[in-house]
Amino acid sequence: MVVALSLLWMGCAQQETPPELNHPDEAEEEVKDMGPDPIAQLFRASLDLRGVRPTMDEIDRVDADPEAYGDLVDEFLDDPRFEDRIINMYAEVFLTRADGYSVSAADYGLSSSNQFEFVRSVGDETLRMFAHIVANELPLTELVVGDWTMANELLAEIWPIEYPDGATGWAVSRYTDARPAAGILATNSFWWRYMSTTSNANRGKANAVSKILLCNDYLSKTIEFDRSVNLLDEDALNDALKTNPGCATCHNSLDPLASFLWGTYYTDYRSPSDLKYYHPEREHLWQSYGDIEPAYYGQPGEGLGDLGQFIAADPRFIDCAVERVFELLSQRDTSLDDTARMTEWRNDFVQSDLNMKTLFKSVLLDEGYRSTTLGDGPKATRKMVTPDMLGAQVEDLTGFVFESGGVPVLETDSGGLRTLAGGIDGTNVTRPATQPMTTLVLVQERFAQAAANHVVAHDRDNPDEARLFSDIDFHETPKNGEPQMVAQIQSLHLRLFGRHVAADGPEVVANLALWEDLYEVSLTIEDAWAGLLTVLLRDPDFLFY
Amino acid sequence: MLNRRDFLQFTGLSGVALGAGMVPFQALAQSQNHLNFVFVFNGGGWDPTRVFANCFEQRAVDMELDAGISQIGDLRWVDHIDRPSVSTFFERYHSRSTIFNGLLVPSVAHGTCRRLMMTGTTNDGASDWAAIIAGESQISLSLPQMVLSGPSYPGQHGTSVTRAGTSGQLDALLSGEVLEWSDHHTERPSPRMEDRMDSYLLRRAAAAVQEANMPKAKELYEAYEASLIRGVELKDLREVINWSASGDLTAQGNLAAQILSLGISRTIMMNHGGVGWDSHTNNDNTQSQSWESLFGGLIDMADRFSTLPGRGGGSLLDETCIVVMSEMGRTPALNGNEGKDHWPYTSALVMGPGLQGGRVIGATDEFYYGEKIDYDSGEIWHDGQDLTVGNLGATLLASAGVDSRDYLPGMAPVYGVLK
Repeated sequence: MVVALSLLWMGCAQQETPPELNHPDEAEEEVKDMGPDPIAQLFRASLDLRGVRPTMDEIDRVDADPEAYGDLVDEFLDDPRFEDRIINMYAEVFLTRADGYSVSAADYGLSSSNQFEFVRSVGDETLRMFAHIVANELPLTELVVGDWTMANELLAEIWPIEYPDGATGWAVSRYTDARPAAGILATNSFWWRYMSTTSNANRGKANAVSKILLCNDYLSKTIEFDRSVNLLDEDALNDALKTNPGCATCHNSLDPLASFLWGTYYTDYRSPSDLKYYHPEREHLWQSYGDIEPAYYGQPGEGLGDLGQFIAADPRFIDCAVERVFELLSQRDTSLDDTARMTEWRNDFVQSDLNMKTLFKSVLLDEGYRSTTLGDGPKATRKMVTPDMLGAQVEDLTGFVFESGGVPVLETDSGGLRTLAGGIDGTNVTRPATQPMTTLVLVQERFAQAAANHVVAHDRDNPDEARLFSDIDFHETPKNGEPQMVAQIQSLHLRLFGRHVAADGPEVVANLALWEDLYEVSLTIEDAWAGLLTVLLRDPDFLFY
Repeated sequence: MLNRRDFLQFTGLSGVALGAGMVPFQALAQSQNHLNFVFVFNGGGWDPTRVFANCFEQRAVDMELDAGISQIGDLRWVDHIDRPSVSTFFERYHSRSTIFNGLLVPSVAHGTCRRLMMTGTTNDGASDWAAIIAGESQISLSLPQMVLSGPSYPGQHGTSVTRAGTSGQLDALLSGEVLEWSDHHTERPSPRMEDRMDSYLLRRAAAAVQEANMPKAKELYEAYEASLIRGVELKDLREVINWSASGDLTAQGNLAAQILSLGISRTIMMNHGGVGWDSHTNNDNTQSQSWESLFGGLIDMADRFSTLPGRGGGSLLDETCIVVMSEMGRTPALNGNEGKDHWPYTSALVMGPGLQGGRVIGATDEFYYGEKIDYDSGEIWHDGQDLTVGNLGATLLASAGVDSRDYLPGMAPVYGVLK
């Protein structure tokens, strides 16, 4: 029967789009004002918070009771993968994950084979600190006032860091060079990414602080160059920065902010020894470069410790945190339409003592996040997975991890596929792709092929621990085991896409036809299943959610 | 059985996939609307006074004592014995070259200037000129924009932009060799298997586009479908093109020539780092070396393009606009480290059939600020307006047949330089 249906469909295919490949349930969801689809919400929440698709058990729970969504969001927020997701999500904000810094692993006596681990460890110090705060429900102010950092064995070896005895991997640690308690403002990671020259006098660094923590990017404003100012006269220039309206608008607040940062100034940015320490002896260099006293929007202060306290007390720090969470989860900028609900989330966030999990939960439970169709308010739109999500969901479903020489290929551009898969590199590419492009589709294809082969071999050899293929034992063909094959295809659609497809539905018919098509070429049952799974993992709905 | 080639023929999206020897886009380059563009970005901030900006009369500018001025027609440049390629280039290609001087980039921070120089705005969602021109192409191309190296701001045109990767990644993806990189080695499916899977997915993608009713979902499915089709086309070209160009400008130029000759791209982006342009110390030595290697590479590229046939009867060079730029200029005076810091006025070189060659547009004054110009004539005019990177962008878009007002409202092209 399958063969007959399949041939009939192939015969039509050249005339018009074969209806069997459509997914009418999804189309209806978007056309009719039928409210949020519980399974679609579940997939969205699971991918956003954990980077993976929900388990069959979680799908069953929502099938049985759509109200289970709220409990599942709580569980996702407590899932260890949420911390990983935070790191990947906020890499786009902090931009500390570069493929290289001004010094290398070899500069610290490490093997060149440690270069990836070196750059990743350096880049992740800031991100791990943030993720630790979020996962452990610490007040967000710890980010700028904490007297601790996160380090792993590698950072503990090369930097002046006290790493806990007996610990392994990333652990709460402390610098031993008497640097101020200022959270990420006192991390090497942050300042290796954002450096300055004496002529720039830390202004670029100050702008990074302002942009990342206060959502105030001075550089988003273009500069009006006043021709009456002689830029070649240093005294005239410094005077203009303080008094000329075109300059002072920004410099009156930016330059005093920059003056807080001289302890993080490196006199030689290629010197491994200079770069590993905080430099209290340089804190007053502002007197030599511009002579502008440190101040936070008019409030005088001194050193990173004061700066952290000022930021922690600034209402914009909270507003910015709310705005960021929304933008990262919605993959769009905020608009005036979002003001009311952002105010609500902000209130909940403040009442929770700046607990980021509370903030995430507020957004996840919001109607605007959950619904694509309901009411007149803001609606969720389809989004595209980022490279880390692509890798995580493939690993979760199939057990396949794409590493080359121990380096995850989706996490680097040095011989890897990060930006080709739509990711950022922290310098040239600072926004992830939000639409598919050719290289992403090719990456998806090769990942799908490798992962499908991997899981088919695994499930064939370990039927009791099957990851995806639990309805077949790899002996069935349409002649001797069509019911099992149909059940298997139904399971795959549910697990991968959250769709209950009918045994005689178009998806099953089309997939069985494809299976036979592939079997005809490959002559092995395993290859035919691997081919079918490859196609499902290459489906557009494996990218969109 | 409908295979992927059948599908491509069926949907009319084939062309290059059917063989590199064919000329799939006969209309290409029949008019200015179909000019190719090559962008050569010099990341770090060059010192235009070493080649483009003749500032010997300006006391505020530290020029090299042993440099001089050379001139052919109206085109003047700074000549130096350590940079022979500069004069060789202009002697050979002066009639095609337009220099923009005194170009205002209203910032002095690398990242912001880079974005401004390529998009005309600080909006981080804006597309760069190359992506816009590629995305606005009226012809279906496998690789509307190819980024061989360097920065790229795809913005809303992300689907049109493809990166080659830094070490042969695109090649490895197309051939399937990337599977051999995996620590868990896996065999790629046979070509016949892959054909069947691709065919299935092409139909699935088309159906998904048809079914999607919400604008955002439709947009995503369309982008997926377009990317899938391009991927299939490129796989068929993998025996023809070796995508693994080195960082060397000559090698990148050769690859660009091949891609453009095949008619599969409209814009190419590449970076030339030289020995490092960001010369806060030792300005003259590092700038001189970088300029020399840049112009050596440009000569190779232009020579190569001039020997290849274009689509409209002339050479590939006749149909290609080469835009050479950097994100900022450098201060007029040397600092205490014999270096130069960041400066908001810079220069650019445009070598293209859409522009009148042999001209210098704009200039700098005694303080090395940009002079105002008259957009209509392109001449210096004290009552005119600033020549900004936005004007340069609008000019490039206009020469590409793109209405610049859609992307740069309020920014006029320099009409006087357009052909």
